[in-house]
Amino acid sequence: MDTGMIQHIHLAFVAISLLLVFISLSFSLFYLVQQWQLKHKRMLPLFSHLPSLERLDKYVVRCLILGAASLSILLVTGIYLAHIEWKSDWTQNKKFIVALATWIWFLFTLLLRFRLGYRGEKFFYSILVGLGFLIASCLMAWMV
Amino acid sequence: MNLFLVGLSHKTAPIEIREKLQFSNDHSMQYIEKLSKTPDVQSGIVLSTCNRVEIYATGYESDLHEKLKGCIYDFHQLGKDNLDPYFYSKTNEEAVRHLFSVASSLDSIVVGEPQILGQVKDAYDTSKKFGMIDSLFEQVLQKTFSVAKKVRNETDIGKYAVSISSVAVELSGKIFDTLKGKNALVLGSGEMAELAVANLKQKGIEKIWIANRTFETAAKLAKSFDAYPIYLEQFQEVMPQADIVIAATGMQSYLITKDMVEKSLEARNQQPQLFLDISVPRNIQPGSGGCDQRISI
Repeated sequence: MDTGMIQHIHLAFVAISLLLVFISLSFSLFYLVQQWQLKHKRMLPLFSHLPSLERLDKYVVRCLILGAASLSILLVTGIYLAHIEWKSDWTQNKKFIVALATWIWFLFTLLLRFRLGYRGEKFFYSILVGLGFLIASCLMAWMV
Repeated sequence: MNLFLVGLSHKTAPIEIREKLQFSNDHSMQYIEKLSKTPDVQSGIVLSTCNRVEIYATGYESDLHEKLKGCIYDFHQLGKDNLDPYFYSKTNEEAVRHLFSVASSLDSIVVGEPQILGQVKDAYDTSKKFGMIDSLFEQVLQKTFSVAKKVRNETDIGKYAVSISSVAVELSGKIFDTLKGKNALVLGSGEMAELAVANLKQKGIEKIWIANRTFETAAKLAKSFDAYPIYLEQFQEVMPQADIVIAATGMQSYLITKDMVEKSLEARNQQPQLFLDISVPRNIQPGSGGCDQRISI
């Protein structure tokens, strides 16, 4: 397989991974809004047609699994490309660090779910807090 | 002769207040008996449902509101100071209009639910037993029944079979994608419990346990819906297996405590569980909704 093809695959998985992060984030927020509506017995007009909590939960978990897989491919192809094309020490490259941090975030949320049994509110808040921390770290890394 | 009404409803008082002033069937009879011994009161009914507590009475006095309220406070041994703001008082035409609206289910928390007319009729029967329905009140109540029937027959209000139970079950659709393959535990076997069971069955629930203090009543209800009757004492054993728990008993104390909910979730390996409390007074300890991964309605 030539480098050009790997580059295309790498870019495709960047897009897929970003999309999965975005979907996980949106559905986690929807879950928390839906839960809030039910607990407070109040339906906000804008969110009155949200899917059930069970379905949102299912979607988020699927996105996290796919996200972890997609990030793994992204990292492998990225490392391969960096090894060939970048002469300097690529382990310090910001793009690599962000991709690695995002991959760790996906794995960490999956660990919370499947090993520590996090569910519901606790799980979705963990996702949001983790993602917030991730975005903040990336922004800081970019600015420095 | 004047007609007086004092009461509170879901529109004026939160559940914490309503459950304090709730009259069980026995309480209603005792209160009517007490009212019959009050010299200024000619007749009266106690309408006590999940959403309202209302006392209607007739008398020659120009104002009986305070006396009726006082009787409620005395009966429940409560101080009046904190509760007065939750009450509304109406006289004559206003009281009649309100009664028409209540009996027609226009004032219900679930508009159009048909149970309320039966509850007004039960209240009437109870007072009749104690000779607490005079001719004026008889006329008012008969008119109320005919107005309620007219509203139901001549409008679309009764088009859909709605009730608190059906709305509660409907709400489960916001939590679970489908009820197929899910289990439910229903506590109680009264009218609300029966409606809940019927709605759950209609939604395709897999298995329903019905727990009741009187096992025979649970068995009778279970038989008609292909459900499983259990003794009330057994419900804790079954609870972790139920995805939905509906409390609809007439018990005056908490049947499900926060501890029980926590234990149940632990036994379910944190699988979500929906608790619906449609009883007044409440059967599920307030604050249990704070437990993780659980929705309490």
